[in-house]
Amino acid sequence: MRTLIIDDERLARTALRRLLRPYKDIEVAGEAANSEEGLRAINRFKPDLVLMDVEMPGRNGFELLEQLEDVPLVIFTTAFDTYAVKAFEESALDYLMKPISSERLEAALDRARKALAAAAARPAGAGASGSAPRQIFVRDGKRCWIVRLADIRLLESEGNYTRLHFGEDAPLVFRSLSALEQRLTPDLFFRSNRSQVINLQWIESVHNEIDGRLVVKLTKGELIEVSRRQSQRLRQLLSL
Amino acid sequence: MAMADKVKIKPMTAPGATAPTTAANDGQAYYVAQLLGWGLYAAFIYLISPGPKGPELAANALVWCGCGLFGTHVLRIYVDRHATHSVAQLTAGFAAAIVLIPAAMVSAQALTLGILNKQQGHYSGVVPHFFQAVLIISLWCALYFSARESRKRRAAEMEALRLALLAQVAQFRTLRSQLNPHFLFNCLNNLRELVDEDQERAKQLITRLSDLLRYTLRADRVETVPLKEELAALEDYLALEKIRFEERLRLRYEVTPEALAVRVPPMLLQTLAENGLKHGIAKLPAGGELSIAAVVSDGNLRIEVTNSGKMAHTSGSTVIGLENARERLKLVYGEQACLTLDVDSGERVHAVVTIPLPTERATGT
Repeated sequence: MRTLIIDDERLARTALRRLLRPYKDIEVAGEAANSEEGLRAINRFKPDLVLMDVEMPGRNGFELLEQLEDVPLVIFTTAFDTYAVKAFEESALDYLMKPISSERLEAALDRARKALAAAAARPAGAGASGSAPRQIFVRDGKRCWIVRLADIRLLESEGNYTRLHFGEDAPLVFRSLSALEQRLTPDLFFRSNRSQVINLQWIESVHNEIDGRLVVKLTKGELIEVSRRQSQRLRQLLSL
Repeated sequence: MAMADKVKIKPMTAPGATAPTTAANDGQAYYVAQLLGWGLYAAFIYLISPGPKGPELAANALVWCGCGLFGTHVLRIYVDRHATHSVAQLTAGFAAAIVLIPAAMVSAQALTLGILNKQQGHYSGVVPHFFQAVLIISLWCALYFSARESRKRRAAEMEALRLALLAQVAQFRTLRSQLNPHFLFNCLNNLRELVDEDQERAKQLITRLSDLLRYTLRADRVETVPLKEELAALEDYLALEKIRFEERLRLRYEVTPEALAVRVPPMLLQTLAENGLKHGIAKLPAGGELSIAAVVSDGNLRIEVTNSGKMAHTSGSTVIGLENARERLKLVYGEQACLTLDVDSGERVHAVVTIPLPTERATGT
């Protein structure tokens, strides 16, 4: 596993390196001392795993992840940040408390290995090329998610915000739909009307309206009306 | 009487904070007022009544007033039994009292007159006397209840004051700046690593951390400490922060000897320094300087903590930290102490605390 360490304290980084030394499958590709360096290092090293302190001067760990086109596996580390710990717990994100115990680290690395293996076993998505973004970091209030793009069924514009629908969750993200759409793979996502983008993989059925427009039903039961112009395109895409 | 006393104590203590002595005083005041009031009324009747003065009139006046006294006392017992009820809820009781007590008074008078004159049915003033009694009893109720309500209000005000005092004490406790747990655990994490890297330094810093912890525990119990002790704790704190900042943090102390004895709230300097580190120096890639100066001038202690960096804009924690420090200063020194935050043209932020020197030896704890 290519691993990157991001922490603003030198001794904390050394401690992590030392703790990681016994694991032969972990290759520490680099270190970063703040979120700007971290952003560059992630884009350069393309790590499988990032061990990252949440609390950093400037942009914190969450803000760093929000910048990423493609989010790797992350294990957060924190000394004592009740707010962050609450977010981790509510969001089922993996985290370690400093000083880090080697047993806890081992368990977290085990989970990371399993997650990587599962991701490798899974097809990246219908027709998606290797360079396509796999997962993004989403934050809504206290909760946050690292979500695979392929798992997002629907994106709905709500003013300057966008509501993402995946699994049982539908967080509201402070990002316009058009800004988000640029990061989506066009062969997976389809703009059905002015305010909605759907994931083609999650279509359950397509119905014809009398006026020639289409209505799409997603697997969770959402009914999406497709605009007249986009109905033509969708027919071609799905070769109806 | 014994029964009345027993009844009296229960409702008096029911409202809560009223001390037993106040209740006893109120009870005494009631008896004095009752006896005096009815006594004077009896004397008044005796004096202004037309006709011959004599034992017959005296007996008449005494029976009339005695009956009123007894009736109103029964009313008081009834009201005390329903101490938690409002005046409105007791309306039925009043209405009954305003009719029944005068009726009793008139009947008693008629009876005495009958006995004294040994001739029944002669009593002609029933109706005017009844209405006079109604007037008197109404007046009694008005007086009794206004006294009772004002006492209740006073008790409520006392309770409110007591609660405000408690709240202030609690507020003072929470305003005390504690050692930031984030700092503490980061510190431990770094020390664990430093043990491998530089044993001697690790040992020294563990001692400093112990001293700092001891100081913060003590800070919970005292209102002020000499600046000398506060500075020693600050030096411990900054030595520990230097593990994290390394050469990015440069320190400078300028403290005049006469400032060392002045008493300051514990952890005040640490709050200011922590603030300067977190929002100033931590954000500068090349780090910066934190300088601590303390001088005595114009009857004030002036402490200045200066850090490189820009002013933190609307960071919640800063506002809370500084606001807490400000509140603490106000609680200890009143309005004369102040804390200001300024930024100068050289990209430095100055936190300045002014504390008035004690004018009398009694000031300070």
